[in-house]
Amino acid sequence: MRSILFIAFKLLTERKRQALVSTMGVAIGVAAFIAMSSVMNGFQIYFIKQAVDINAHITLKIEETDDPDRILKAVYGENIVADVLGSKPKDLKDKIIGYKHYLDKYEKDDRFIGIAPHLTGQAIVNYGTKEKSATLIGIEPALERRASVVDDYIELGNLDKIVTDRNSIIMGKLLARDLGIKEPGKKVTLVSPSGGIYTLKVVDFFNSGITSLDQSRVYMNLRTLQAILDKPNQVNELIIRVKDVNQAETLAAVISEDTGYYAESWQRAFSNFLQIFKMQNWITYMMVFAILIVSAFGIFNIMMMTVLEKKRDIAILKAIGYEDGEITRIFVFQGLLVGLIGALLGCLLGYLLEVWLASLRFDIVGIIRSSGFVLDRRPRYFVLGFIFAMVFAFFASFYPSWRASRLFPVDIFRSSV
Amino acid sequence: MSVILEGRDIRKSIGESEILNGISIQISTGDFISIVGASGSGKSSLMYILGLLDSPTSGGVIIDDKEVDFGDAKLLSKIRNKKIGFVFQFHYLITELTAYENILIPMLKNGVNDRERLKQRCYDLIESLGLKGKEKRKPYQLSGGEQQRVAIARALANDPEIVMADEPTGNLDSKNSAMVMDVFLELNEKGRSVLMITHEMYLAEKTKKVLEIKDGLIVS
Repeated sequence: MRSILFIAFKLLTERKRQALVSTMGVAIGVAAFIAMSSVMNGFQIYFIKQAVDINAHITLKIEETDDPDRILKAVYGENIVADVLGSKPKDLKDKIIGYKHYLDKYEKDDRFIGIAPHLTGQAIVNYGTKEKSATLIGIEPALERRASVVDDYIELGNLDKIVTDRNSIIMGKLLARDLGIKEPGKKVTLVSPSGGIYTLKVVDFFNSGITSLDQSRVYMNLRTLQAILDKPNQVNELIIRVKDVNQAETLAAVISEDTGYYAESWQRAFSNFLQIFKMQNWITYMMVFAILIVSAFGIFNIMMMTVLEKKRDIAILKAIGYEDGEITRIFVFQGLLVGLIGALLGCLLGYLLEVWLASLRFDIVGIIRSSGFVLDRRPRYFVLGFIFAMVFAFFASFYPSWRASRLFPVDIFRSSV
Repeated sequence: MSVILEGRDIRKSIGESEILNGISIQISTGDFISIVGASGSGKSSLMYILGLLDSPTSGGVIIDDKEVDFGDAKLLSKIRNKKIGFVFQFHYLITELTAYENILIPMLKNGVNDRERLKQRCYDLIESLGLKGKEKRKPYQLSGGEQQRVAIARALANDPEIVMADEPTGNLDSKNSAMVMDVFLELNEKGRSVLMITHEMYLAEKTKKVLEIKDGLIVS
């Protein structure tokens, strides 16, 4: 083995320029992989974490279904609906009947961390001359804390104030900004769908970083919202936090079966985003793999050239007793050495790129808000980049090495005289 | 004198043409055999088969009283490494390695790991072949004669029982040819067996036994 390593190392280091070019190719590929994975996954993980944790792992709610009375199953079968022009939507029974029973039941189930009731509705919020529509969410803070992480995003930590002062609300940061509210303590007017007008005090702001939520949400005491919407003791959603987020889809089906209501897992609620992320990942990884493949071709090319140039050396090595397998290993080792140095250099470059990207400061306002790149800086991308580089280097060098081992020394001795 | 290597009724054909037509040869300890003949007579082919670089179409090679199995590539490599040293018309030195390193590689393959022993053996060979002071030079920094002497040192690295040389002076001027020939004669005087292929009669005449090959047969 020592002789193989010695020859491989010498052959590689004495061809510095070629070795450097192929090493840099691998390094750039690995660095690109690390940086791009870090940026893409950082953004996605941040979004999923925020969105999933703030909303719910599972939401039990009333599903809008076709009016059973309008299904013409007797004539055409179950899935045929008669759409009568000019007819109005049927009044939806927007409440979960016996929700307290479900609260008690699921609270005791060790697959769940917490369950909390929600009453949601729409309203117009006025402040001075400005008015905005808002999504009102009535909550019970004690239960809410166990079922979501909403508390983490209340800027001044005044979630309990909506319990002590029932006429207080917590307003989305962007909604407050749009209304011109800059600090807590301001009173706003709320117009309910039935026309009721209520004056409420903004005691805190909700700032999740997810634009669509911060632009629309208003949290208030469940009892207050039940009074405003004239729905005493009613809730229309139960949010459930599960121990294993990956089990949400399965558990949602179980809950749906158990309650008869529609249980929506976070995967289903965010399926559009997850699909986009999946596509985004495909595109990103295809690009990165293209870079890695190009660098692998770099190794392949150089190894192939080396084998062609070193035919005489291969012949003499065989003559002095080196076996076919050893000749293969001499050249594969060169490829792996290029891969190893390239991968290590790529990891260093990737790390520096991450540091640089993390230091950049600029406002991102899209589906999330941030003042720079949100990076996922887990070591796994370094490990994966390293493994990919070594695998690519191995495959890129194997064929030329195998070709080298198949050379018949006598042919070379005869042809080089 | 004991027989080191024996070729029995060696035949070699490539396609339709018969290159060797049943050659038998014995090489014993202390032999210096030169094989002469015209180009294409089969001299090199015979050396490649005796040196286990090529296999015969029929016939066999006996080393240490055992017939060599040409299907066992591992065994052939092992015998080449330990028992046979090769010198060719072209030096075939690895250009990326120094003279010292070129001499080192057969020993590394042989599994010699004692650093001091490796160093000592290399420097002994360098000195005995008049290459002292040139051990750190790359092949392109050496003259033709020096390159060939490094190749001879590499062939001797594992102290083989027999050295096979295929036109070792073919690329050298008369002065360097004489110098290389002297090296072989000296090696033989010290008891090493040498098989040399040459087409230069004046060199062949310096050896102990001259065999002439014609049309794939030893004729004299």
